[in-house]
Amino acid sequence: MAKILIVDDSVVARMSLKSCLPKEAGHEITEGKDGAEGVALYQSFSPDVTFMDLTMPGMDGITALAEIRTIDPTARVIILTADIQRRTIERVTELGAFAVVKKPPVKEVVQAELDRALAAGAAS
Amino acid sequence: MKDPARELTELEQDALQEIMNIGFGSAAADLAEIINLHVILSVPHIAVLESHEVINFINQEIPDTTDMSMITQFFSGKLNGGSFLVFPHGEGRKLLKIFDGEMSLIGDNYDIDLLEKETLVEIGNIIIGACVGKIAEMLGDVVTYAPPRFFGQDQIHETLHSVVQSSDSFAILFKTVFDFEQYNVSGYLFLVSQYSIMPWLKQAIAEFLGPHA
Repeated sequence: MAKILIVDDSVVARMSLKSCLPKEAGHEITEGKDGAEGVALYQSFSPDVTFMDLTMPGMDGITALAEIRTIDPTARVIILTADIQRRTIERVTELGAFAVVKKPPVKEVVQAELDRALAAGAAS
Repeated sequence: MKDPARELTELEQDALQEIMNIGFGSAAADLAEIINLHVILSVPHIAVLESHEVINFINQEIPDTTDMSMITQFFSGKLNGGSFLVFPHGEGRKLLKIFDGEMSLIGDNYDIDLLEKETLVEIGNIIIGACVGKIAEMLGDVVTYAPPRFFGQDQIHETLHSVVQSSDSFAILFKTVFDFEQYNVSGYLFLVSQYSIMPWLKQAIAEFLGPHA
């Protein structure tokens, strides 16, 4: 069982991501609605893995990713976004994103990246 | 009293917003790939409005349409309507750099106004095609497009009026802002769909939500 933080302004996007996570694993999931809430929840909830949208009102996902990685350089943040432009992917990778997953999420891809992130956490 | 059949619920609006977000992301990725143009995306806005409110909304967003250029493209399918991509007038000139290589082939006698217009039409065609196509695809539809058309400054208000007035009394308005980062150019994209698509739209959203409920 892992602690997972989902940050996305869209309730539908959060629902759709949760439907891709394995229910039998019994992960503990917490949700945030924008970047600022995501950063605050990261500190209070201490997730093993964070899924972060990029295009959000208020603090966007790029800023939140940078703040989280400053707070915790080992944070494993998977970017789940519709913005799949090469420069965007380069930017979040430079900021230390663990992986970038294209929206809409596909169950197999989400689970594979989650497994990889959890394995990386266990190995460190 | 509001008629629920005429309204989108909060969840339906959220779903549509997410679908549009994915549609715009797809358009941005196409632009980046085809013409190396990086776009900063904004959170889309959706509203069901009466026809005259659509014009008011656009006027509020862009108070002076006499200083703008607009590309329109109509689409038809179960999802049908018009798309309006609006740029500040003259901003298209900055985007000409995208086609620098091709311009050098034309020589010194090219008509800069014509090239600006053609650049905006080409960019508009890519953005609108990718956005509307992806939104339609996610809602289980396929759309066909009329050719894109360019309208300058004083033609804009009249064109918007004629489109909105000819549709039914309510319209579904979608809006987002495109920010072309390296050129410091912003554009607005409005999609206006006729209210008559509402029953189909609600059903399509329900089907989209189905697997995630």
